[in-house]
Amino acid sequence: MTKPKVGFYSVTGCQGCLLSVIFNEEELLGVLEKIDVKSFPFIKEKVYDGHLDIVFFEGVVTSKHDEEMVKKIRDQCDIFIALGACATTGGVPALRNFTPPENIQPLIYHKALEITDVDPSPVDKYVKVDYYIQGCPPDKKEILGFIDDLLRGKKPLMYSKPVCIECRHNGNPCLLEKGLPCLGPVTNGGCNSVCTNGGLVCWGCRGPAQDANFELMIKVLKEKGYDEKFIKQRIDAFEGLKYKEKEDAKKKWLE
Amino acid sequence: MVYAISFENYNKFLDSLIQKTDVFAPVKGKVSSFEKLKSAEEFNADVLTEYTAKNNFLKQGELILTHKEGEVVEPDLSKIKEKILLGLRMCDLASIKKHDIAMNNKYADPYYNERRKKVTLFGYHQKQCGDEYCFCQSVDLEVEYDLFFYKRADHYLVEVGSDKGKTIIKDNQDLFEESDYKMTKEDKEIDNQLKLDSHDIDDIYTNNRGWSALVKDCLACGQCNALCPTCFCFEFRDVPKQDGSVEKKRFLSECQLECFSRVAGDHIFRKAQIDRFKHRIYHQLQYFKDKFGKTLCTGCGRCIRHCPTKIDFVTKINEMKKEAKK
Repeated sequence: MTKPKVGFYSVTGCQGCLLSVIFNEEELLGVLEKIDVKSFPFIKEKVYDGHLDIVFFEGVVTSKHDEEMVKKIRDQCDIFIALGACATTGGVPALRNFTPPENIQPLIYHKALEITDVDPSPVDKYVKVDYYIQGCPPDKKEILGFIDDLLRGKKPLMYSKPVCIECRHNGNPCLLEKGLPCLGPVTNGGCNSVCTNGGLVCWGCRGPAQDANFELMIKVLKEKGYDEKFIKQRIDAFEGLKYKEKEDAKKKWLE
Repeated sequence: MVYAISFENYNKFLDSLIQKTDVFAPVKGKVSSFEKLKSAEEFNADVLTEYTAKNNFLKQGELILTHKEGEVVEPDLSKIKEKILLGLRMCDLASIKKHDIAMNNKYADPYYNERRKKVTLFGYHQKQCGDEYCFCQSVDLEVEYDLFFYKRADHYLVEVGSDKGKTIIKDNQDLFEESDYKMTKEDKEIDNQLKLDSHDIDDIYTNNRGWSALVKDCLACGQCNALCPTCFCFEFRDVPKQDGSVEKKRFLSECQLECFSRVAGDHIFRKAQIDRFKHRIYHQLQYFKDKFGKTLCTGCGRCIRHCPTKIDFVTKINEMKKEAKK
């Protein structure tokens, strides 16, 4: 059996998701025996240009160059996996969508003319995505699990329960009940509730849960004494674009 | 036969148990739950615990079998340690009895039964049990225990419920005193503020307006399932290992989520939240009763108390029942 050709690619982002792959120190060498890594920033100098079986794509599309790259890579591969919060929900870089352009105008590189700016958006705005690995950063074990499943010819299972489930099975006190602005109930889990285990509230890095009820979540947080601006900023941090997408879809449906 | 044990002797009794076996009891840490007791002083049964003792029987992530190089390896269940569960309220005890029924219906579940067999159950009674969300007196509470402790002003009264319990008393003869006290019905009473008028809720199934009023406050987070002492639905997941083996593990499943009713081909049977919500309530109060003659719900009220929006289905069901009678 020939080894599947795997590529890791990255556009605008902090590269933390790729580090998550490398952080599997104990298993990494074993995995590399089973797959043929053709491209990996940090590890490989040259960018591979040819057909690939599996692609892990990290980062948010913020420029024309990014857009071209994601489209090109998609054409070259069979299975396209969006890796990390930026690629799946837009993440923190996509916050720019929620501020008036004049606020960021002075910050954009005017001199580097070859950079053409587009609205930051997750990769699924431009290409078809087969699987999503969410999280900022994604769980390192989850990435290996995906590779293992794909090697076995199995369809990887994407975790689809809210953070609350894992948080409760980990025996944590409910932070929302304590009055903290935790977004656990509307956020997809799979992270083993790593933040709430340590007493930190959930910011929603893994994107909206399947049945995320944002309207009610906002109402609950308002009752806890948080103002609208604060709640909006909290949701926008990671889930803003997906929330907006949902709202727009709802409006369309009502029309 | 009823026994009495003074508070001082009770602590001695606990300390001697801790030295022999693992004792799990309500402990007030950052959250009140059943934890392994290190000393008798840690025991704190004043409040109804936030977490139930469910995890001791239906372990999250229970290893069912391992596939390795074409072979199936079953885990060694005899390695499971004996333990004592202490300070179980009536609702927690009743939930264990209900799991016994569910897990031995048609096919016996060896994983559950092995864990269950190795646990000694000590009940704990307090008249002022929980808070305004408890409604255990409105549902079926049938319990099985080894020893049952009733708190009095300066001592505990102890009832024996099994041979195992009898042996424990015998082993600690010098700590327990025989008492000629006769337990009355009042001694076993539990005060409830909340009351479910009837758990025959067949006739209000079609009351869409009533159910919708409850569901509009549902965040679909599934905490009610996770905290429920009786919710036993589970799913299997295959976890691949780096050495080429695959572990089949069991996890608890939540009927309030979409993935619960998703089947092959991505068809989802209960798409609307109202269907899922009704399924939970009807399973707890109706379906289980239709099948086994008693409600699954034990009225501990955790699903209301710890719900982010405090969905009080008990009061609403009472309202709907009244409406139906008119």
